Amino acid sequence: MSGKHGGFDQMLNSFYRQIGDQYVTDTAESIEKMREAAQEIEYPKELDDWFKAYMKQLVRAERKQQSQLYWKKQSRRLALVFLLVLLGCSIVTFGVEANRNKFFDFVTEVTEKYTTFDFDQEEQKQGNVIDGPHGWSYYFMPTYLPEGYVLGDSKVEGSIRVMRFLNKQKQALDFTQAPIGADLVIDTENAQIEEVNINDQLGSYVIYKKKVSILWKNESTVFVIHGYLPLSEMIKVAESTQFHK
Amino acid sequence: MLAFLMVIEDQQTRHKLETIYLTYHREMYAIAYGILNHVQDAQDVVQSSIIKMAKYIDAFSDPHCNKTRALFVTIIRNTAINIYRHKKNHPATPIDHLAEDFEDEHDSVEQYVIRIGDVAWLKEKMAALKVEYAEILALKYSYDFTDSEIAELLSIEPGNMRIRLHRAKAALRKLVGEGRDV
Repeated sequence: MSGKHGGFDQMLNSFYRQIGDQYVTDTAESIEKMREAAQEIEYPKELDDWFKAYMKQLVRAERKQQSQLYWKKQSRRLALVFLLVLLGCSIVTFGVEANRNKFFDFVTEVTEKYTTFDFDQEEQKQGNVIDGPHGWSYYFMPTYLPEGYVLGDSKVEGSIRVMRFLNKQKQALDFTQAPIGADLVIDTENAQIEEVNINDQLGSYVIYKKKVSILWKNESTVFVIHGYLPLSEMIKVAESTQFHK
Repeated sequence: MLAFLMVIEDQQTRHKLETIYLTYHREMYAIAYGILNHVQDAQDVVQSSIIKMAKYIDAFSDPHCNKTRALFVTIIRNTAINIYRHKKNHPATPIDHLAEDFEDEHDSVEQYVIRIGDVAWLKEKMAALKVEYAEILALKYSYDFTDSEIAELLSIEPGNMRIRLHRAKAALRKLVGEGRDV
């Protein structure tokens, strides 16, 4: 609606509003006029009772609504707290998991260190050698020694290196190594000579008057050990041979 | 009932309804009884009107102002009339001759211009205008209720409400037209 009719509609609405406003004024006046007459009418008590009950219902509904709003708010807060707790738990869990892994690593590391340490201690008790002869490098030596044996002496003769391990009774266990091609002599007169397998390498052992000698080689080196120990112990020492830099 | 109860949101609003009841309960009952002449029916009218007022409590700005008085009177009266009509098996609004009510609203501009603001003239026209037409114009243009709200407040169908509003406007135009030559 625009132009003449638009303006006319506005005017009409204004006119209707004035009529409405006049109705409001007239009706309000009529209420004032009937006030006295209304006071004389017998008013039913049931209506008052009903209104009181209705107001109580309103109060209850209002409280219920407030309670619902309260619990709704609390639920939201609880949900938020739960979410935060869940998030916290997740973080802690992942954190703990990560730390646990670290811990296990650590334990493992420590354990390894400890194992190593403990092993070393144990080996020391058994007279095993931890450090090779002073000044040596690129050499082989046994990592297992029978109980009570420790490195007592060492010597180098040309390309041949010899370590002597001694126990408290000064019983010697000699470990000799030499490059392949070196001449190593073992007295086998009246001795028992048998083949033996040391670390998948064929070798020989010689037993002469309780002295056990084992001879074997690897790709680069010939080894000989002499000692007054049971053959099994001697084989164990031989098999524990490892390269050291 | 709960749906009506839920519309009261706070103590202040509840207090407003209580004030209206305590101030005008006798007038409310008197109006209803005046129409129905039946105690129980009048009580029912007051009760259902109170519940209706609770729903539209925001329209009652001040419990003691003219608009509040006119509004509760309108609600009470129409609720009572509705019950009366139901009891007498009267149709709420005659819908016959509807087409003849649809006249061109834009046929006489000047006749309104000169009279707007003339209270005496308005009062004269109001006296000649049916109350049901005046109240529907009031609800529509003074209270700014929507059509569906007016229908509920007057206890009539929305279709009948629109017919009544149109008739109110037509009747008013007729009254104004009659006065043009005076």
